[in-house]
Amino acid sequence: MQPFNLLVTICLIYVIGLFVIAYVAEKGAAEGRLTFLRSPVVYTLSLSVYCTAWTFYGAVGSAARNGLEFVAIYLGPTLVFMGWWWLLRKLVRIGRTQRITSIADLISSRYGKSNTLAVIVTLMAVIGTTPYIALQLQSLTLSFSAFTADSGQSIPSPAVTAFWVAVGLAVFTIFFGTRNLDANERHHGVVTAIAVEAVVKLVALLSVGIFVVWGVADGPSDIFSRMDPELLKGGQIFTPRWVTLMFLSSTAIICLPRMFQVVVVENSVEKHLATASWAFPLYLFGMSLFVLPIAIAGQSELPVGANPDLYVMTVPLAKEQTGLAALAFLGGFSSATSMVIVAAIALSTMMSNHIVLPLWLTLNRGRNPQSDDVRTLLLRARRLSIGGILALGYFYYQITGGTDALASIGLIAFLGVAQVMPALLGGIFWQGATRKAAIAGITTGFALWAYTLFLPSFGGAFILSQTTIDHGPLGIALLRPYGLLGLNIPDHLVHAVSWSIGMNTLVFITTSLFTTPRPIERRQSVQFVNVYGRFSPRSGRSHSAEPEELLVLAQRILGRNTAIKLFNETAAEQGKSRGLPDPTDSFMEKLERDFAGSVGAATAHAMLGQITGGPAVSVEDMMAVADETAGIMEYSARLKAQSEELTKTAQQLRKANLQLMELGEQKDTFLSQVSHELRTPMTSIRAFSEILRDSDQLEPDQLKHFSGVIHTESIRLTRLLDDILDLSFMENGQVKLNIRRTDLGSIIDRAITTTETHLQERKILLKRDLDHEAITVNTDPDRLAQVLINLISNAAKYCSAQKPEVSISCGRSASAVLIDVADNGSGIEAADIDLIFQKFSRLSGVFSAGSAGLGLPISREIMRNLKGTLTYVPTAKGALFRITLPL
Amino acid sequence: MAGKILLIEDEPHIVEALSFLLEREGWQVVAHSNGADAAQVAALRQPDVIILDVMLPNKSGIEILREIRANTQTAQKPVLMLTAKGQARDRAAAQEAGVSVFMTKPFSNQAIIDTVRSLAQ
Amino acid sequence: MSSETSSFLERDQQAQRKRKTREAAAFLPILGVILLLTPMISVFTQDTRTGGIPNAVFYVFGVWLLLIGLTFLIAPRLQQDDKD
Repeated sequence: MQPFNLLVTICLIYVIGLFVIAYVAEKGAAEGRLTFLRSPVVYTLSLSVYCTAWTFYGAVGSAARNGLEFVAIYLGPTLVFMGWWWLLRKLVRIGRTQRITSIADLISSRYGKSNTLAVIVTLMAVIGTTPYIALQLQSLTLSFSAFTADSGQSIPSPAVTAFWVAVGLAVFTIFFGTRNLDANERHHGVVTAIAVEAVVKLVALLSVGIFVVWGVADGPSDIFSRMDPELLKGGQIFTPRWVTLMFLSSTAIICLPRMFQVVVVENSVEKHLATASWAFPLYLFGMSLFVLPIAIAGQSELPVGANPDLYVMTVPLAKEQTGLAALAFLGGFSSATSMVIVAAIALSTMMSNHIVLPLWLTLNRGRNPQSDDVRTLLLRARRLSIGGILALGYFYYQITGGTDALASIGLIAFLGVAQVMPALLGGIFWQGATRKAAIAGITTGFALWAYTLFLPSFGGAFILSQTTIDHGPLGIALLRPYGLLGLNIPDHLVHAVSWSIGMNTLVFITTSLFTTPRPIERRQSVQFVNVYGRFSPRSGRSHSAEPEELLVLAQRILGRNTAIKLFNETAAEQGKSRGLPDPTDSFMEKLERDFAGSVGAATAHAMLGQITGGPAVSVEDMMAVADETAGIMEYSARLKAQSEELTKTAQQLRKANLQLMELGEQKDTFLSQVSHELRTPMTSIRAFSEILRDSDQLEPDQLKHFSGVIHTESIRLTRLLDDILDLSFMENGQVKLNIRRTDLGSIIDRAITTTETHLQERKILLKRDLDHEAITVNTDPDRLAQVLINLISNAAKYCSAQKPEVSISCGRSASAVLIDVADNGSGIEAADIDLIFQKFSRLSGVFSAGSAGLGLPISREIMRNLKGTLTYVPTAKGALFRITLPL
Repeated sequence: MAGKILLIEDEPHIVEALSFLLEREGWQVVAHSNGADAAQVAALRQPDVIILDVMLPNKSGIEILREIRANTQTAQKPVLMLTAKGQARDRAAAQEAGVSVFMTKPFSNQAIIDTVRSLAQ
Repeated sequence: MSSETSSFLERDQQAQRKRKTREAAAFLPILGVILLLTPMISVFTQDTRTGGIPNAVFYVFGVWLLLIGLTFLIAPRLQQDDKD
């Protein structure tokens, strides 16, 4: 078979094999089988899309020209993966929580779901990636021709080869890259195919390397002895270029659209990063271990003028190892195809989400959303984008193919996408970074990159003329693209990196400091920077949306079954057995995140915003999200205040309860006392009346006596009831007073007359002070007399002296009249003084039975009503009650 | 002769009524109005039945009952307690202290006579 | 010693270990930068050879392998931390 045909057959078989692998993996993943596909090994291998044909073939070429310089391209990613805990883990976590679909989506989402930024980054990515795809096509065609160069067979022109390769890649990518719109934007089939290609790449390069060291040469020392001494000139490794390459490669591992796709978007399990952190650098180590020996072998074994970029294949061919050469060819083929496939998927996602869909939304504003299916639109947009991207790459190759412009495009493209880096790092580590700053920084850096590196790389063929490149625009030397402002760095790449990245960062930081983020940016910045935090921020939308509308939209974006499942689950979570869920904050947030997984954050936000109709963020929401921490603190402070208030209320309730219980106790005691006081006379009355009723032969004396007892006790009972009513009235202030000017003496006279019988019964000596009684008082004489009667009869009743005496003395102070009623008894013990004014109190000592304890309480109430007082005055001998009356 | 009754009560008219009733039935009634030494009087007089008022000057009826029960000479004596308060709390306290019968004032004369008679047997 | 105290000490030790692992993780990239991105790299990459192989090659690939090894040792422990 002719070599070319053989090669084509090998390629076809290989591609069909990949198809099968991808198909089986896709099906397996969909059915939940083949869980090993989600292993860290597959993840690590998929990262190998970093190693494109440019590195597969080009690393050897670079080693042949610049010695160890190629290692820097691998060391940068090594350093980034070693620090995975700090940067990659955060990116992956953000990617998952925010449902990030691409690097453009990440930047846009972080800076307030800005579509402007998304478009800028997408365009940059397209500009940076298209030449790179062209480069892959060139590598492939070069390797084809190199393989078949000696056969003398007439082969199709490189352009035709490139065309068919591009078509084949487009078909493969469309088939596996846009089979479905996964909410997570993961492509199990593609990833698995790429993992297989990664193994092929590594095996191919290692095989060629081993063959070179032990097949061509006689071990490592032999191969290095053949080395051109100029290749590794001592002390020349650490150069500005070495540092620049390390920087660029470490940036590229994150910012290249295809790398972001495999590192962040395709990451299904965060912990895979832990394995990849050492396994991916180890893969890169394996990929570069034999690069230098192969370069040396190529230089020493092949004729001068052979293309170093093809040594990997031409060395085995020169040694007539066709099988090994074919393997090397397959390695290169794998490198090129995997890069193109992943890059096309990443770019098509960006283009459809950030350019096509927003455009469609704008054009269809206000149209009935049911008539079209966003899913179909998205899938079509993606397929067209993939085709378009490959077409762009092909045309780019056609125009610049074979020139130096294409060969050097790898690093130039690296620097182009690296312009995203300041905005990216600032976005995930610095809450103060703003959208305006990101736009300003990225455009500044991109413009400088274009001016100082990209455009001049065409060597005067595109926009910038050779004259401009050499002497500056309009002859202004200060503006020379390769020596901006006179900066004289011989290495154009280092010059461009210094200017573009330096100015980009500077503009980004200063603009951030001088601009204020919009509320939605602040919300997003909190979510990105504090992605490990546990609080869920408040949603910034007023939910006027109808659930039906939301369902229609969700069906369009997520597909019918997924949408209905999601809505049913949410309804169940909200406790609804049937019907649609309410558009709550959390539901809307979840919807937006799920939509973002399909159409990107900015678009999802815009679509839901269009449905809900309200302003994206209200002022209150802005205030609320301004400082989430403050909100939480405020909340906890409020909780604390509330609990304090509750404690206080509980205390008050306890106190009130205690008072009520005390009152209840007092009431019980009072009722019990009243009962006793009423029942005692009642008992006598009943007993004697029954005797009268039941006894026929009673003596007339007995009859008279018993009737007398009944009479006396009846009077006692009546008086008691009067007293209770009296006291009750007086306590309520309902007593009617008959105030008039009266002579005090006459009132005392009345009191003594009433109590005379008592006094005489107990042979009590009454002493009066008639001189001082000549005072006119303004009071109710009946009530005052009542108090006096009570005091005199008490004294008469309880005075325990052998020769009892009761004395009444009067006097006046500046404002009051004083009346003292004293006896010569034993007085009242100090402990009892408070008790005597309580209702029905009985003192431990002298109280005799039968007395209602209401006299003193009533007297005190009377005095209170008369605006005077009644107090007990402790004396050396006997009891002394003092009445004061206002003049 | 029906026996001796110690009547511990401070209300003169009630003492008079009860004495009249019980003496007519043939009892010998000893009245005592001071709470302080009532228990000693009970031990000294050895009555067949003790009638005890709950509210007495100087000492509550419950306390006197406890003393009566504590003294071996009177521990077995039937005690009829009279109260004018009629609260469940007093009844429970009296029962705990070992009262024989608890009656609330005012009472029916016949009930007193019947109770005393049954207590004496 | 009460069990509470000892469990407190254990927790403290765990926290210490965690911090150390994290510090080591932070230090690794810095170590890489020091070994590969400072002019001192030239000290080890003079025009000399060991066993026929240039020392520069030994140095670059040796440091690379060393860094991979260190990452390999630390990564599982960091990942365990993440679970807590």
